Amino acid sequence: MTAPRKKRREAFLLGNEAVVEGALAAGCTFYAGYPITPSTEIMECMAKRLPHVPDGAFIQMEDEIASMGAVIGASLAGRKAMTATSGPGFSLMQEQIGYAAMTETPLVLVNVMRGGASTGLPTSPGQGDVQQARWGAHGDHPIIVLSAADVPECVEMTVTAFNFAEKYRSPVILLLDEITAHTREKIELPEPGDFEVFSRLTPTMPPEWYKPYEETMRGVPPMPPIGSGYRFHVTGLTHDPLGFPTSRPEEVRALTERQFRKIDRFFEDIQIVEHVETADAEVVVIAYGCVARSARLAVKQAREAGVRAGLLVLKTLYPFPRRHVEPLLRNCRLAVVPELNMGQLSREVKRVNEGYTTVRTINRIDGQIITPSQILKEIA
Amino acid sequence: MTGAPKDKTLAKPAKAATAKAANGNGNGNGNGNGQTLARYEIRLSGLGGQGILTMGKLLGQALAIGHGYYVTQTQSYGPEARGGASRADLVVSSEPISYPKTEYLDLLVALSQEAAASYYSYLKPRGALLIDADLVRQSPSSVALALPFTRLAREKVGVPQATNVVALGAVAYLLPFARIEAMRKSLKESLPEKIREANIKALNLGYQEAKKRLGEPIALPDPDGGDEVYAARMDLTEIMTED
Repeated sequence: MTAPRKKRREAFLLGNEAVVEGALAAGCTFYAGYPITPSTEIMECMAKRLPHVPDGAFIQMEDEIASMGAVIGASLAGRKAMTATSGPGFSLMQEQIGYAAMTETPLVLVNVMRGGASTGLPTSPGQGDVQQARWGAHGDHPIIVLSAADVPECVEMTVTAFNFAEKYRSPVILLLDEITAHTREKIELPEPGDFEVFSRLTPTMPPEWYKPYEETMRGVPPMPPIGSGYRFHVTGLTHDPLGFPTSRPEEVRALTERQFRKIDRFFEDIQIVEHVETADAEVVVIAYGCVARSARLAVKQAREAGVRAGLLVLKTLYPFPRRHVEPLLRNCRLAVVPELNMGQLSREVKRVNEGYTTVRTINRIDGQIITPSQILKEIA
Repeated sequence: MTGAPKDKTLAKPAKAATAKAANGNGNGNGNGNGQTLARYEIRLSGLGGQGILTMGKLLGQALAIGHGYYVTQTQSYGPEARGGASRADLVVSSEPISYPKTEYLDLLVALSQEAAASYYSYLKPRGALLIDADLVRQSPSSVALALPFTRLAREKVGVPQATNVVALGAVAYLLPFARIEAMRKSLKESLPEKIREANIKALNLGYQEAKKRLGEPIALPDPDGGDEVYAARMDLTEIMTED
């Protein structure tokens, strides 16, 4: 530890480029996608980098539906696989997000949020896909949704996304916004050993004993790569422990409950937040993504002006970090939730609040970031 | 001072050091010795295709990696493929930067009439305006610094596409905390071999022309108060929302 450390390689990167650094550090070897602003640099960068990674494969697919299909297939074959998209592409991917959740296929999907519905504002920021990330795929299914606010966090949260996908056999959505994705900042390039990297558990029993969806201690069954000698049937139909379709109520219930339980039991690991001066705060800002950066400055300025303000940055959006939000709401007189949408995460805050304290929202949907002064006006 | 780059007068080659050291001593705010920066905000603007975003990346890279400042570089462009308004914004600081976008500009570089007209109002009262002398026919301010970047690139470098790098050379001269070597290094690292030589030439040309014709580098705002401009900027209720 005391040996002088080699000087780290630094780079001045876009958030999107940092996502690629994180993905490669996490062991990603497969990318399939279809380019769309403002996520395109992730794909461009992957196209440059993956061919130089051992066993790396990059495919440009014909659309986003096919992209998700390819990513699911690659993951079932044992790869750490990802794709990236924005609004319209994210909508096209919804059905197969549900398929990945049902078949418990690990994958990472980066959605760089732009403004507006439909084609909207392709080159402007938005945060309008928060509820869609949670509930966009039909049917009850657990899912993990993460976010990042700056370029170093893009690396960190991408690694985390892969780790969660592998640990919990779940699709993981990383929500960025146009500003985070298109801001350049200096980062130290990740080197092997910087991050703890987790890979899915593979079965250790003889192939003839293996049951792909059997209950285990952690609720997460081991997963062999297809073609490795373990029989493995994959279907989006509700299935029994062997992976074959079933509609027997006790089996249906057992499957769905296990799928939720495997996420619910590990809230402590999954729910990542950052507290900024919340210990004595009587006014709390709850923010994520690029808006968290505005909020950080606003809170600093409010403190300078003598207001006991604090900031809770949500890095995990779902499962919603209730255990962190709830105590703050019980102890503050005002909570402010600024978002680049008409009020999506503030719904969760209000749900947890249960009318206890005042929750004020700041909503901006004109393709511009919420400025520190806009937040300051509400809290000071 | 922690995190600030080394004393530039020591690190600079002799010929370039003279002008800036003189400036540092001359304006009496001590900036010639150690370059601690509060928030310094730069906007590079023009039309799609002029290389504005590349210029932003090169400048940001030089300031972040070459000088060790905290830098956030953001960008804005229209949904059109080309021809629309284009801009790159940089915030440079000795401290970590929370809000990544610009608020009030210390330096505005405008390579088109439209850009000069639309962004002039974001300039601080004593901020500097640098324009392309040919392309900005009606300067919004009589105290603008003007060089014919496009003409210089076409006639002296022989590569009209190097306009942005000629402008970068001028910016490297004007910024009191920037070193031309860091720009050169940033350029060498980022550009493919076959266009490297022309761009180095363009950078040096911009630097020399600025030194010859634009007077002394820009003075930094005094962060220790007493400067009403700085105080006005810190009045947060006055911060304009982004356009």
